[in-house]
Amino acid sequence: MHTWKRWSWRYRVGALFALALLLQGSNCPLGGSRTFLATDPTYTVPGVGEVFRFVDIEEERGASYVIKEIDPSTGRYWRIYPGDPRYGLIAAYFGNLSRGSSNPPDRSSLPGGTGTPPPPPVQ
Amino acid sequence: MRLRLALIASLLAAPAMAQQNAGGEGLANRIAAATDALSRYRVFNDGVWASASGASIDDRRTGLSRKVTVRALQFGYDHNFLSPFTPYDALLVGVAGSVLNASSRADAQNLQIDSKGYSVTGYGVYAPYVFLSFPVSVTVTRWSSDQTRDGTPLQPVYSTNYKSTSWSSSVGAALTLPVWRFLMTTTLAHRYSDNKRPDYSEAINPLATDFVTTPSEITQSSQLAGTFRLTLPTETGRVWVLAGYTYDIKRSPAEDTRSEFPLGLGADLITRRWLVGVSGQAILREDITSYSGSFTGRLQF
Repeated sequence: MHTWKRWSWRYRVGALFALALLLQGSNCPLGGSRTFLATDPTYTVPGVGEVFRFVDIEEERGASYVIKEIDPSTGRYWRIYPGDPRYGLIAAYFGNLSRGSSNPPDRSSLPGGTGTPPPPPVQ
Repeated sequence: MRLRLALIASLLAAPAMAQQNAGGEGLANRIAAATDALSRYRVFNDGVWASASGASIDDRRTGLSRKVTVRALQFGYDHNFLSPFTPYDALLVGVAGSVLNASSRADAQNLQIDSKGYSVTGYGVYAPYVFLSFPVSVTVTRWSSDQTRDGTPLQPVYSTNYKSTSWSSSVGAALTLPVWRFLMTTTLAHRYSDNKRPDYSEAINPLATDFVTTPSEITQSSQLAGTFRLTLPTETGRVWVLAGYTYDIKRSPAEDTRSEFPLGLGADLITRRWLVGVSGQAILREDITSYSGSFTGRLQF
């Protein structure tokens, strides 16, 4: 085992490797913030403004329903966490889908709900 | 040596350089798209819910007057797919089961029917855009009924029991538009309901050697329903009111009136994981009024 000499080929390869890792890490899309593209759809949420529909999870703040909102002055977005007054407005907007199972049943599907009475009793 | 060094350097640096030009590079876009697709499917796509509901029907038609009550306890699970086919769409599919209890008290012949039932519902909503959705639901219910009615002096009470199967379905389209601070949802749906009661026999003497048989009957309704719902999202949930018009395309046995008018209101409390809601509805029809209410809790994970 011999020590690495400055500017030896081993030193240069090591430095290049470290540099490559740093560059790669700074731009790695995994685990980092997602960049939104101009083609991503946005929605006008009443009382809030333009919003990306997006659900995310962050280790430091736990599982949360995160919406990204565009800042009109800079074009950048930020996350809206529970606790933010606008969070409820956004969640209600995106959670407004009809579940399709809330209609009460019609009389005709209930025994005795409608229908012809039986013939009168006979002796 | 120099050649080897240059080769190693270019191999190591290439991926980093490719990602430096993330703005227009195909590879970076593909990675971003893949990450996007993964993260969209990650959390809060599942929900379980439970609902307790009750309904009361007051039928005041001459000769057919009756009071019907239904109580139901329902449990469901659904999964929400964000962007399953396009960047704009959403799909929700779910399944629910319920236990039911119904009673019918008709004035004529003091006819009393007490039923217990259980049902299975499959439901789904496809929303190609956030403002347009197509809700669908199908329910099958199996009922077990005990029936009594006034008899004759020889046999004061005629009694019997039978089982029946009911189907209910709803298929529709809903358009939601933001208007000032409100969300205005207009829904057009087709609703179908039926119940196939089998024929039954009642003993007409105390020794139960003589019987009278009532033939089977299918009751059904096919309706076109238009509803208009105004929702006010608040910082902690939402409140909504609903008004509509329902037209009977077909009803068996036939009835003189074809129109009914549903009215409703409700409120939901929404937190990060929970949704708790109450709702009430009245359906007004000539000589028939229905009231229903429900309490729902939903946990999302």
